[in-house]
Amino acid sequence: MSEKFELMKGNEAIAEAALRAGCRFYAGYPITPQSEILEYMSANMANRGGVFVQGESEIASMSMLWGAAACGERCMTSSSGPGYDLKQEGISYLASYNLPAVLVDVMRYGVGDGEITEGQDSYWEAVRGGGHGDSRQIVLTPASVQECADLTYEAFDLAEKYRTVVIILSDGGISQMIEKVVLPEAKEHDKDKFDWAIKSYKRSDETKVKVTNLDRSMDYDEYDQMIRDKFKEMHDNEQRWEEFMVDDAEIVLVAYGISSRICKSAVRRARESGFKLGLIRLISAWPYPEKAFRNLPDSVKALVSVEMSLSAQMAQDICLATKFSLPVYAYLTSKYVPKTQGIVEYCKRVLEGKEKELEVY
Amino acid sequence: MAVKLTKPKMINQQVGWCGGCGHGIIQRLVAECCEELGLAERTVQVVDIACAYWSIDTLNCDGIAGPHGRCAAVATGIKKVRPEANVYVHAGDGCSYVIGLSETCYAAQRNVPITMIVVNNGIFGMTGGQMCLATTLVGDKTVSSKKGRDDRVAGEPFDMLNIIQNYPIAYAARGALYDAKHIEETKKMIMKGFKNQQENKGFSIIEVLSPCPTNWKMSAVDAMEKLKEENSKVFPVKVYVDNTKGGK
Amino acid sequence: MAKAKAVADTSLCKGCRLCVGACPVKAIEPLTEINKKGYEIIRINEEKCIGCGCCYRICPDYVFTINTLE
Repeated sequence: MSEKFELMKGNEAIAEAALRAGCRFYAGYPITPQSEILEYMSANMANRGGVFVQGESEIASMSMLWGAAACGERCMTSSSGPGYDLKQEGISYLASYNLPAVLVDVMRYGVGDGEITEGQDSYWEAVRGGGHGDSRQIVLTPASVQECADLTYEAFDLAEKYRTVVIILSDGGISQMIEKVVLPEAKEHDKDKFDWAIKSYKRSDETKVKVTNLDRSMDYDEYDQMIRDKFKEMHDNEQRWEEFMVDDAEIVLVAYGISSRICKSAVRRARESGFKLGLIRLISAWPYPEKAFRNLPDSVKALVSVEMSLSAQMAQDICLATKFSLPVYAYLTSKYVPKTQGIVEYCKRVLEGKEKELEVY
Repeated sequence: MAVKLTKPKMINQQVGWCGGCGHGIIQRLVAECCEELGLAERTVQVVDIACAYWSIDTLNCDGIAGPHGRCAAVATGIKKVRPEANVYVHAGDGCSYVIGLSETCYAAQRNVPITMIVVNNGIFGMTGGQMCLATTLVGDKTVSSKKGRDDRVAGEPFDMLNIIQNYPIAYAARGALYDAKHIEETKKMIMKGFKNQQENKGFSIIEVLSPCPTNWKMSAVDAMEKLKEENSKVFPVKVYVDNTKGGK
Repeated sequence: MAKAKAVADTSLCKGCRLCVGACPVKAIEPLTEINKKGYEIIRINEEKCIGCGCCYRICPDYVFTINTLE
């Protein structure tokens, strides 16, 4: 890997890393704050020998992805907020035939049209969503421009390893910030290497590929078991997180993306005055890093989720990961990026018993 | 003694369509065209999730199904990744002109070199015979227009080829299945659609007037008669545009 | 003398009768006899058949094959 730094926006790093991972098909529709990904692809896809399509809608873009993924191509789309809603049909279809693809969801604030400013309230949609029916997608949550590049680059391999959709769950903050980044090496992808992919040349009759809703080369029971096994395997193997000063912490913050960066400052700030905070930062939101919560030190009295959402979304997954064995609190800042001091003060009030524990509903 | 005409080899089993359904004829025409042009091994079918879906089990080529209404977009994705493939869409009027009108129009607008075969049977067959906004004739009884389509409520059917012919495409035509002569003419249209694709001339759309005896609630013979006497009066059988001649 | 004749694989027939009306020389007779699938089938009158292929073209279910006689 070259050690050459670049200065890039989070969105640009995602796009460039995808191209370097061999992504050769992108279809998308403009929406703030993800449009730089589409713009970057429009400018750079053709000279890497790939296809860029500005779709007539998110739905059509996803359907194009369904076609391109079925051909074995490395493909990606990106959207945000209400645009990402329209991707759900396509996610469900990709899941039904186990096709690999990478989706980027740059979260923005609010329901409906919401706001174009940063937010983290599409957590449930990304982690629990994906259209109707049983499907789980790997969800990766970058917290820096470097991670935007690294996780996107790896997402294509994960997508193909498990034949699944991988979602890069970014947010308005991470997407627009400019940081230095070391880009991964460019590699080529062979779309003909998969036996499940549509091809366009002569083979024996047995290898005709029928890409359908459910993989009909097997019966329903067999299919169901295969899917269950796949979910379990992804769950067991792909949990990712970063621990920061958890060993002796009294309160452990749990966060991802833009808010996890502030949490790190909060941990440092609190420790300056001897208040022992720690942080578990999610790198994968599904599978949720349950393993991070298995052997928490006895010093931990409570867990505090720090999220930019209206409801405690990710906080509920902490309850599930800890099987309700520790008190869980949620510090929710909705469309405002949390402030370091705000987090520290909230945690102090938690210790003093002045905050209410999270109710799961 | 030699075989002159028989089921194309590309069709490897019988289809699940109802007796007298036009889809089976269209599938045969597609298979014959692919074989005659030597494209059988390079063909990728894109079928809609509705009655056209049955075709995926029976044609011996790579295929992909659905999502409902998105066939033109799916075919765009495939053609862009595998430009050497013979990519055709087999979809109904609901898919192509109602829920998926945007996808159809924008495949035309991009002039993607695919061949789109639209089965106009004036009804939603797979879901049990509901009215199709684009193609059910005024007065036709369906399970969602029980007293006959009322144009004051549901508007009138509309000839989408009138619109699509104005896009910068290679070819738009409407064939019909009500007699052997028109079936042969429809085959020529499909053949033209495939050739345009091979010659990279752009988007071709062939709409086919086709009967649905089951949901029209009439015999197959009567259904063909209705197709000829009623449907083809609203939806004329002709070549709408052929931009492959001359400079294009 | 016809140069070709049609033969029918009536196991595929779905009883739609389109071939009966499509035949220009009325060589196809509808029967009440049913096939394994339960559809009323047809019979080709070989004497009348001119091997024109109209039945092959109209049949949605690939029942007919046209053979040349030379």
